[in-house]
Amino acid sequence: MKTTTLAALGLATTIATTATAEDIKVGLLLPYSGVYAALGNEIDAGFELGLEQFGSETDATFEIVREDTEVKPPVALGKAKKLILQENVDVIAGIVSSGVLGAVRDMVHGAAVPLIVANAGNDGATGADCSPFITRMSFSNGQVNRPMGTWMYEQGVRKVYTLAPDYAAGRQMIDAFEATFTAAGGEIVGQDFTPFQKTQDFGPYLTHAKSSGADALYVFYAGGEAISFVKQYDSFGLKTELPLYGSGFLTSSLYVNAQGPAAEGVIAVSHYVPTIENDANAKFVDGFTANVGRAPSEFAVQGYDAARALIEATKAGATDRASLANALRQVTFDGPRGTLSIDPATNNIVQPIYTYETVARADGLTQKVLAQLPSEADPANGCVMDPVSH
Amino acid sequence: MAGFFHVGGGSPKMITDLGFWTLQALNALQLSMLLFLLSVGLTVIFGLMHFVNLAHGALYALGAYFAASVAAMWGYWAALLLAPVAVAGVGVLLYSGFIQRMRKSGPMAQVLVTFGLIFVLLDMTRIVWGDLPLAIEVPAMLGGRLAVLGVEYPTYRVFIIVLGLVVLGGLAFVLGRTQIGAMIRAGVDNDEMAACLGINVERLFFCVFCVGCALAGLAGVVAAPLLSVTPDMSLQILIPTLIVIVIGGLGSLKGAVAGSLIYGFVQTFGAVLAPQLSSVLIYALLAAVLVIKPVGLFPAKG
Amino acid sequence: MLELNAVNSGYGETQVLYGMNVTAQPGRVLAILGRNGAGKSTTLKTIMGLLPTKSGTITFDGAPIAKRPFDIAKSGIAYVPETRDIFPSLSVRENLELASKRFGGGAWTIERVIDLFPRLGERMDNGGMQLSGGEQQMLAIARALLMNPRLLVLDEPTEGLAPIIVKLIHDKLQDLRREGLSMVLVEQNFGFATSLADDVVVVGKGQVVWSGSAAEIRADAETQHKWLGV
Repeated sequence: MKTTTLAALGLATTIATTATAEDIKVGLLLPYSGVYAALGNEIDAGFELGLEQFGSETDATFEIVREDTEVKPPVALGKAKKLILQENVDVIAGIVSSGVLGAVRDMVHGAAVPLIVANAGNDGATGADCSPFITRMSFSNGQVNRPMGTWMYEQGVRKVYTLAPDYAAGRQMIDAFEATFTAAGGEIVGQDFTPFQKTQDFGPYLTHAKSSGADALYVFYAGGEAISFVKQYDSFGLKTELPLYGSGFLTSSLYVNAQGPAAEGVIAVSHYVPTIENDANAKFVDGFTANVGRAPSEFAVQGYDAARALIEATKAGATDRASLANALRQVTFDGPRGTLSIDPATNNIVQPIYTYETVARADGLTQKVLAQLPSEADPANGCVMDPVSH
Repeated sequence: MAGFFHVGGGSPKMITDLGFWTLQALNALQLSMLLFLLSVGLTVIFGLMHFVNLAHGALYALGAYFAASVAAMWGYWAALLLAPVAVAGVGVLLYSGFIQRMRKSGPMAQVLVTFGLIFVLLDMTRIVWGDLPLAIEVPAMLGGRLAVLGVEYPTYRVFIIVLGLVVLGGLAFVLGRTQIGAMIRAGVDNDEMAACLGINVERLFFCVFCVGCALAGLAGVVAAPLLSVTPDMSLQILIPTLIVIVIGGLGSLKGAVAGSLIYGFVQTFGAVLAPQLSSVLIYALLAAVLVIKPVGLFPAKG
Repeated sequence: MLELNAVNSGYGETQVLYGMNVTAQPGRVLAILGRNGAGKSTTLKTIMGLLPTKSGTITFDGAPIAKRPFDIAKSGIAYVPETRDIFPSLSVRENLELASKRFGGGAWTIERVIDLFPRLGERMDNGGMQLSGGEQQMLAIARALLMNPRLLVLDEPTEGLAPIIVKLIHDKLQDLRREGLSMVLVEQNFGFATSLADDVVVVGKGQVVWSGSAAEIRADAETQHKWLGV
């Protein structure tokens, strides 16, 4: 198996180097405006850096066409059509919101255009709705949260109160945590799902959680909601009696400075923090900091690795839509997050997961990695696909 | 086994715990006061000028952004003073640029233009301050917690409640007990007759508009340390504010107070007692008010 | 004192006044009579700046009248509208103070208007909407007087009032007339108007169709019949 792959790789490399340089047209489909514009720009910066640092490894050259989804599914579908039919791109990368991913899924699947998902974490996208053309280089909601249930129980937490916004991602994150936490013997003593992007005041929920008798709070919030939540959590003085744990986005390096001292001591689980210690991450963080002026977030690494996956696919000899889709499903490399691979059964990424604590240093808040939890492939979750061809 | 406990509702312990309900009442009051600061400007402007200014929420966001910039240089207290003034300045531009010439156009045109303004201002905040959320730290004096009514409550939230009550008291005094207030009420009742009594209604409206904008800015400053300062905060606050003034009745201080309190308490206690319904509860109440009393509970005119 | 010269005016696109010429003399009462829709109230609203003058001129004390209602009010014209327009959110006292505090220093004070209409004195702290029709009319007149005007403009002061109140209003306005207050009065009540007025104009279809003294119109049965339907 290994030898055949290697042989194929070797053969492909030979072909690639002998052939005239292939030009790959990449459509970046990201929100450059709207509520997720910050994430879109972060992923874009990561993607650019990926091409910058690894582009020389392949003979292929890349031409980028950017389209703004505005985080609106119908707009995104129109832009995806434009990229596929008008721009005639070889591959699309991006997609921040799962709603947008749902909207473009049938389009890219039907047109047989490879899509590298650089954020949207909906479990179903690499589950029942999976497609051999859709490869996810980011994470799945369940994947990030699943290890945390077991880990928190091992840390001695027994009773947890959960909070998350009331939408698919919020529910999937909490459900994955809850499944492993209760399986380990823990108890969920209460949970609330707060109206998504409509909740400004978390006071009522925090007060509720406080009187629930829980040992700890486990939450998922992202972006502006995460900032409001962490600050309000702290203002109620809950740090000592109700320690805060969460899905990594809660104290993402992108937002943590806006949370300020309130975020100190929060423990979260994520597929990436900028303080992971390995050579690949050092190279990434240095490059990103030089370009953008601050440390990269998990969103940036997703864009970076999406570019890297594309480069790896071309190194394996892929030149067009069909061969890129097939090659992307077999990509594996050591990146800032550790060893990454794609699970060909679902096309979801397989990656280590990290627990980390937000700590204060002289130069601001940073992430102290507490544990690296092993990589696990997601369950197939209803995904049925043809195997990859070698 | 643990599955039996997966419930969102309250356990018997918290229902008998008075402190729990006190805290929730304070939460409700705090939210009410924040909404009051925002809705009172909008509702009085509407009552006086019959002008629907949907961009009011954008002024709130601008207040928060100005505050973030000012606080970064001179601290929170400077922001609390300067940001509302700066927002009032933006109000002056809006007034002379759009609102003055749209006074006589119908409500539909006003709604469309001011709704569009939300997005113009939203993009301007993004261009000036970027996409990443900003934050303001609570000043040291207002950090920590206070013992109130037998519970520990965040000092900053107490500050919001007190500030809201002070503004409410100030407005009630000015509107109810002073000559300026009588002029404003007369203008709301009948602007033509007020003008025939020698009142420069246009100038009065302009002043009230500026004060309304400053209050929106103040709400933005006050909300900033509690929430995050994001470009879309204007859109997030728009619907709650509109609900407040529709329930309370357009154009009256009393309506803004009643609407804010109803919203704050329904939202807070709804979240606790009926979490599954919390997002629809306030809309159901809105619908009920519209059916039973379409003009709202305390409209400016009978 | 007040002169309308070939004034065209109306509501939006609908023109009501077609070359209206009216002159009010100082110290005298001018009654503007005419049927419904003849343009009487429109004339007053045009004087007050509530309707735009499309062409023609209005002068007050020899100078062009101000454009905006509040400037017109400040120049010394007080208006008692047909609908009285008491501010419902204001108490009787506040309704009066709105005028007295802005136009103080003249002969008219709150004490004096209460002397004129003692009923108002009993109702000072009532809301504007709690008053009867007659009380509202008294308040509207009192409020106008507190502006210490040089010209009082009244639109149908007797409309909808009980005969006893009409009599009272008549007597009070008669007192004001004796004191020399200039007035322009629009009225449907022919007897009321002609007993108060010195001069009378009759308008029909937005123009003056007759002018003369009160005594003359009383004697002119044909004009009364043709233009007023008396």
